Amino acid sequence: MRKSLINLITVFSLFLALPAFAYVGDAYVTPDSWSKHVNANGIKASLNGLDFGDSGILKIGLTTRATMKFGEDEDWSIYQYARLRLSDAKLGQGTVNVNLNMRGAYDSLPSIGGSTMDGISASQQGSSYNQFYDGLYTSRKYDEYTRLNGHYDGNFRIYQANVEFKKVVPYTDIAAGRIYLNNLDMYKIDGGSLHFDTCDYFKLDVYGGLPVSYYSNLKTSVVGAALEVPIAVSGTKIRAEYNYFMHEDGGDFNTHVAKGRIDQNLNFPDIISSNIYLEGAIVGKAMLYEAGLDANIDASRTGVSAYIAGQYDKNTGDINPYVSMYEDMLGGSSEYVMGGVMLTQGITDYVIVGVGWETRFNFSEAYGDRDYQRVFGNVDLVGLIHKNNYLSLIVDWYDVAEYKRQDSNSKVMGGFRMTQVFTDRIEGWVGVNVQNYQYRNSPIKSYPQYGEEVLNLSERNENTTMAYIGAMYRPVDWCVLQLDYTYEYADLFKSADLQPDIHTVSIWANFIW
Amino acid sequence: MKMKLLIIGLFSLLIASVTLAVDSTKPSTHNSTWEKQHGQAAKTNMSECLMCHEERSECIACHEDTAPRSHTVTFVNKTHGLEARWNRTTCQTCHKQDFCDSCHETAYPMSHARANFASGVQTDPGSHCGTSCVIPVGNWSNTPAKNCIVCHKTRPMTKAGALHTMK
Ligand code: HEC
Ligand code: HEC
Ligand code: HEC
Ligand code: HEC
Ligand code: HEC
Repeated sequence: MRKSLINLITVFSLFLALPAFAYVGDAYVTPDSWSKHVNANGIKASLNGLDFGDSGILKIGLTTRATMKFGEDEDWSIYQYARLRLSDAKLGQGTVNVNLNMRGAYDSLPSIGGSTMDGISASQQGSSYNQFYDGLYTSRKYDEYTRLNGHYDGNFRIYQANVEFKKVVPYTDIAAGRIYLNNLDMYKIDGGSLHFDTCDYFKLDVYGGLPVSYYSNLKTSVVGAALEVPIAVSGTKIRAEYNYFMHEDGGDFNTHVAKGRIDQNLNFPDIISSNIYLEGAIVGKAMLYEAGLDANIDASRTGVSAYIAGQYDKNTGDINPYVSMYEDMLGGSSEYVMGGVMLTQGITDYVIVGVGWETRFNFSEAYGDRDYQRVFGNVDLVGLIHKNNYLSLIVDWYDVAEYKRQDSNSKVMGGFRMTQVFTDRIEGWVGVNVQNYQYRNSPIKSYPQYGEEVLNLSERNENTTMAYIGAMYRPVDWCVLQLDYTYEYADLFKSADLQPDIHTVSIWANFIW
Repeated sequence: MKMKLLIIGLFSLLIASVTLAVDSTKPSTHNSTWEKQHGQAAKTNMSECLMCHEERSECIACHEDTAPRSHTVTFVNKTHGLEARWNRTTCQTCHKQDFCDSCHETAYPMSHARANFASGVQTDPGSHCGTSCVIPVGNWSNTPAKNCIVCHKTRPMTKAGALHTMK
């Protein structure tokens, strides 16, 4: 703990001491590598590409990641991610695009199904890096690919692999392979889609195939159509879509999903840019709705977001696993209404303050649904503590009310995220995040007449601290290197007599053309 | 090991920090609240996003490939279940139920690892009988002991192979 604190402080002071120059961006745009605060993943998008034929451009990317995790036990994994995109290759009157994103991985603890109830033999077998940390590896063991291959944890996946023929057939775009659909939920299927773009007044998509899962056989196929009516003069967009999911087992697993959405934008350059949306859906037997607003008032440097969403009725009975709202696990998502607002206000060029509130109210009791209030906020200092520095202080608080047989819970999270752009080839980031959860071990109230173990039901007050630091370096245009170190401290492990400190070091090497 | 890596990292930072001029390649929408707002923006006009995110590799990276930082060890081993029950739609953005089930089939809660958990004798300290599962029920799949059913989909069998009794 202390050692990593010293490391953090050293690095922090280094950040302050280095010379830097303003990264050129509008308003309060965050540095390019800001996403590393949300997800450490260091895959870099491909570059400008190589010429292909007369007009085509070929982009290629290869990423290797090595991760080393140590705490109670050690584990390392190597992972390879490959992607390719060919765009705008001429064919007849139209063009052809090809997309491919895939990855494979090797883990040092590849044995499958080795978990045992007594922990001891599990750790001896080396099937899990920490007998209580089993969960982390179990999800991988059940990867479809791993299942097929028995022992070898290859964790191979194809994210997308498709060919698009754009206007090769007049007014029509054809896509086939593993594709993302051009509909509201961006379903991913193995199949095909046709996009008709005959006039300015409407666009139609028709598609069909097998929804993709990396974890199990969904036994499902889908057909659907999506219609879009853009009204350019008024900045309106109206969409309607219908999907039918068919399951091998039939019954309610054959599920209808219908959706409609209206987007209205209101843009006056340099004054306001905003969008209002209204969405409705029927998923199986349940009806859902959502309405919201996102606006940036440039003139006063104010940002406003608000939404209200809810569900009218409940999905009783079965529902297709691909569209299920975890009904099979948490019970039928019951009738609810939720909403929230978020305001950000810029003060000079250097400071932004944001506050937000969100709440949820459930009309009926279901295991999976809890009423809560959430308040969150941030204070961002843009280039204030140092040139080219972006610092964001964040808090997030959930208060989950007691409800019949269920106890109250709460979560408080606080921390900061900071990125320093050094040059156009180097960026570094550091962040600390402290979370406190309060809950009872069993979410259901104690019934002492049945002699429950008091200890197990006692109120728990658990802290997790996470700190990370990383940097990205681009020595030449076609190569990007990234290093990230994450430290976690978990009370949960400590109270189970385990090593509460976990360290993770990841290195990425991207080769992109 | 850790120290070494840090030193190497810092060293390379120092060497390279002499070049000038940095261009941000992101549009002004991408501020620090973009994490919360980009989803609706994508629903409104995905074709705009695809102009820059043409391969979708950034979307895939966060939504499908690597677990986000919010998924701490505590989150994975305990609190994700609580959070899923507060607002299941947040998880729905990136996870379908098949993902959750694939893990729940074999990963068990910490409570299961304590001594005597498998014991069916109510008075044994540690027995699973002392959990929320003891609430009287008439029907296994409609019990308030739903926190067992999250993983145990069907009425369990005892070691002898008989269906578990109901209270
Ligand atoms: C840095 C990680 C990250 C990247 C990159 C990313 N997302 Fe997301 N996305 C998130 C997170 C986190 C949420 C949940 C936000 C929340 O609810 O506060 C989310 C939510 C969404 C939602 C759901 C919104 C809703 O309310 O239903 C959509 C749609 C979405 N993202 C689309 C995209 C697309 C398209 C891309 C690529 C252009 C993308 N995302 C890239 C992290 C990311
Ligand atoms: C002008 C080009 C451009 C457009 C248009 C664009 N993005 Fe981005 N976006 C970027 C760049 C560049 C990054 C940084 C990528 C990286 O991490 O290296 C980025 C990063 C992101 C991130 C990660 C968080 C962050 O702020 O870095 C999300 C999420 C995202 N984009 C979503 C979207 C969505 C959704 C749309 C469509 C509404 C969109 N983007 C449109 C260029 C663009
Ligand atoms: C990596 C393995 C893993 C994955 C993946 C996983 N879970 Fe869990 N889940 C667990 C473990 C372990 C527990 C037991 C936690 C405890 O000790 O209370 C659990 C418990 C739960 C609980 C019960 C919590 C309570 O206190 O009542 C819910 C609900 C839950 N998970 C929902 C989900 C959802 C929803 C998903 C998918 C988005 C998911 N889980 C994915 C491992 C996993
Ligand atoms: C921005 C997208 C995103 C959101 C939102 C999200 N997750 Fe995840 N989560 C991921 C990704 C990506 C993985 C890695 C999946 C894999 O390896 O196949 C993951 C992994 C997990 C794991 C396994 C962790 C591990 O390290 O293997 C659990 C458990 C989990 N998620 C639960 C949840 C729950 C519960 C929620 C809602 C409270 C949620 N997630 C919300 C993206 C997300
Ligand atoms: C996170 C998922 C999960 C949750 C929640 C869960 N279990 Fe389990 N349970 C498992 C797994 C996995 C096994 C091991 C199954 C196997 O080995 O085939 C198991 C096994 C058991 C066993 C058999 C133990 C043995 O050694 O034979 C009992 C009894 C049990 N669970 C009771 C419960 C009770 C009571 C609850 C609710 C308080 C519960 N479980 C909640 C996943 C879970």
